[in-house]
Amino acid sequence: MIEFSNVSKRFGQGEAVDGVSLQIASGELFVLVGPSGSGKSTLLRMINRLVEPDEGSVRIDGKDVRDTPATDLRRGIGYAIQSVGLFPHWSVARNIGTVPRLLGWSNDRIEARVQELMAMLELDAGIATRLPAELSGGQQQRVGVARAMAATPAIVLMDEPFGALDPVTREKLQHAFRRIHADTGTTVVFVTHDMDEALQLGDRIAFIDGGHVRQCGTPLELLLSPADEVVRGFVGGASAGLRLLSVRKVRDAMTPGSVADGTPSINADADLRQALSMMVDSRLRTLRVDGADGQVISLDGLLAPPR
Amino acid sequence: MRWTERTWPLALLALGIAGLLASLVLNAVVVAPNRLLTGHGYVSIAIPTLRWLPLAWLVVLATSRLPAAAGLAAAMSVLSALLLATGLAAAGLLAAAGEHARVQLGAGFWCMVTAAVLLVADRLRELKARPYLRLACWTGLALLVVAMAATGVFDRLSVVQEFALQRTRFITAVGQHLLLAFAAAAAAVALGAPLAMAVAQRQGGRGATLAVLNLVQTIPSMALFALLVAPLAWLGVGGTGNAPALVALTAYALLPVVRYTLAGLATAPPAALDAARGMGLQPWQVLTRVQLPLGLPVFAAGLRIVLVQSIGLAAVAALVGAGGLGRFVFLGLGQGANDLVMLGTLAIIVLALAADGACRALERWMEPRA
Repeated sequence: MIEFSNVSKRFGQGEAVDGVSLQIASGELFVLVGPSGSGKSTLLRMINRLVEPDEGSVRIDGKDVRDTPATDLRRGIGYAIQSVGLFPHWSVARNIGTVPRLLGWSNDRIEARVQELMAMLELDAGIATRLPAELSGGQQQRVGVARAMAATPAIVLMDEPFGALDPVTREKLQHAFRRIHADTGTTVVFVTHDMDEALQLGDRIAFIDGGHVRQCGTPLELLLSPADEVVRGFVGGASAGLRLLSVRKVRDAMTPGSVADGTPSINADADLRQALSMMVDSRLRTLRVDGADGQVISLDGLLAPPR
Repeated sequence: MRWTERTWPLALLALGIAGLLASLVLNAVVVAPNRLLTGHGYVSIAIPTLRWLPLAWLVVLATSRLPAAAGLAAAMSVLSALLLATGLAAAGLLAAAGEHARVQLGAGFWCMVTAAVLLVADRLRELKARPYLRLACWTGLALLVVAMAATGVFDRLSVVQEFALQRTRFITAVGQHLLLAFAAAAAAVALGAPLAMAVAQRQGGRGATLAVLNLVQTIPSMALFALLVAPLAWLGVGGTGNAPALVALTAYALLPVVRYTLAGLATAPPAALDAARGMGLQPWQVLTRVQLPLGLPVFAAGLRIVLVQSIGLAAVAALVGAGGLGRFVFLGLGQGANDLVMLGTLAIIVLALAADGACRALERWMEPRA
C-alpha cells in the first residue's frame, strides 16, 4: 500500500502540492487525473523520491520512502514517462534490461525476461537489436512500458505514458496495459490529464486540482456524484451519459428475459457503450448476452440507475 | 522555373576570377640577391614556365557550365601543375641569378594556391562526394606534393633552402611545438572537463565559470604571457621558458573545453535523464552510461578546436622563451628574414590542418555509435 500523509511541496521545479493525503491499495490501478499544472506529476514523483516533499510523508507498506536510499528505492519501482526517455544509444533489448542489469541479474535471466516482456507487449522479437530511433511512436512507448516492468516491480509509476500517441494506437496500448495489469497484479499509479483515459483504466481515480485532491473514488462515483462543480465540469459535459455507459459492464445491467432466435449477442464483459452502439447498429432494443442463459441487455437496462 | 535549377556556381566563378587576376597582376615569385635583401618580383606571365596560368584559369572558369567533376579535375590539375611549374621556374631563375640569390614565393602564388585549394573543396561539396572520395582527393594531392618534394622539385625555393639550413633545429622545434600544444590541451581537459561536470547542474556556477573563462579569452595572448612572467618567477617555476607558456595555453584552452563539455553533457535528452534517475541509476552511472556516450561526438569536436587553437597559440609562446615553431617566426621577424618567418608559419599551418583532419576522422568514426 502507498500512503500519502498530508504531503506538501511549495517551491522547486514542477507543480505545487498542498496537504494531500491518499491511500493506494496493493494491486490497484490508481489514476491521478487533473488539468496540467495541478500537481499530479509532483505527487507521482514523490513516490520514487524524484521529488522530496516539504512536509508530510510518503510510505510504502508502512515504511517511509526516505528510509530507503533513493537509488535502491527506484530500482524496486517501475517508471515510465510520456516522452518515453529511451536511451538513444542502446538497443531495445538493452533498454528493457536496464534495471535488471543494475540489479546484477545474470545475462541469461535478463535475456529471457526481455523476450517475455516483448511478447507480453506484442513487440516483434526482431526489433530487439534496433535502436529506439528506428521504432514507431507506439513501439517506443511499448518498450518504455516493458522497461518499467522489467524487474517485476511491485509498483509501477506511469506519467502520461500514452499521451503522445494517436488515438488508435493509444486505445490498443490501453487495452494491452489493462490486460497486463490484470495478469500481473502490480500496483500502478498512473498520471493523465485525459478524463476518458482515467475512466477507462482506473480502478480508482483521484481528481487533483491546484495541488489538492478534489475527489477520490471509483469511476462510477466520480460520474454519478461529482464532489463539486470543478469535478462535474471535468467529468461531465456533452458526453457525460456516454462516459457513464462506458465504465459499466453488460454483466452489471443485464436482466432476465428472452429474445427471438437470430438476435445478435454481446459479451457480458463488454461495456454498455458498446451495447448501445450495437443496438443502434442493428435497430434492436434488446440483445442476447453471450454465455449467460436467459439474460438479455435492453435499452431500459441501459437507462436504469446503476446498481 | 528551369533557370533556378541550374544557378551559376558563384564560388567557382569568384575563385576562378581571383586566380585569373592573381596570375595577371600579382608577383608569382620574387628573386632576391640574398636571404635578407628585398628582391624583384615577377608576374606569372613574365616567366616562360608560368606563362600558361591565365589560360588555365580561363579553363577553370569554363567548367562552370559543366558537371562538377570537370571543375574538380580542372582545379586539381591547375593546383598540381602550379606547384610543379613554380618549382621548375625557381630553378630556372636561380640559375640565371647570383650565388646567394633566393627565389621567394610571391603573393600571386599564394593567392592561386589558396584559390585552387578552395576550388577543390567547393567542387567536392558540389559533387556531394562520399567521404572516401574526399579523402582520396586530398590524400592524392598530399602524396603528389610529397613526391615532388622528395624528387627535389621544390629544392630551389627559398623556404626549402631555409629548411635545409635549419633542418635539425626545425625538427626539434616541431617536437617542442607539438609537445607544448598537446600538454596544454591535456591539462585543459584534465582541469576543464571535471569543472564543467561540476557546474553543469548549477545555473549560477555555470554562468560564473563561463564569465571568468570568457574574460581570460579576451586578454591578448602576448599580454597574458607577459602577465605571467612576474608571478611565476616569484613562485620559483621560472618566469620564462615552458612554464608560463604552458600555463597561458592551458588557460586559453579551458574555455572551449568547458563549453564543449557542457554542450556534450546537454546532448542527452532530458527525458532520458529523467528516466535514468527514475529507474535508479546512480549519478555517476547517469554520467558514464548515458551522458558521456551520447556526448562523444561533441567532445571530439571540442578536442579538435582545442588542439587547433593550442597549435596556433603555441607560436606566441616563443616570446617568453618557450621552444616551438614560433621561434623561427620571431627570429625571422627580428632579422628581416622572411623565409624563416615563412618556414615557421607554414609548418604551424600544416600541423594545425593535420590535427584538424585527424580529429575530424575520429569524429566521423565515432558518430554511428551514438
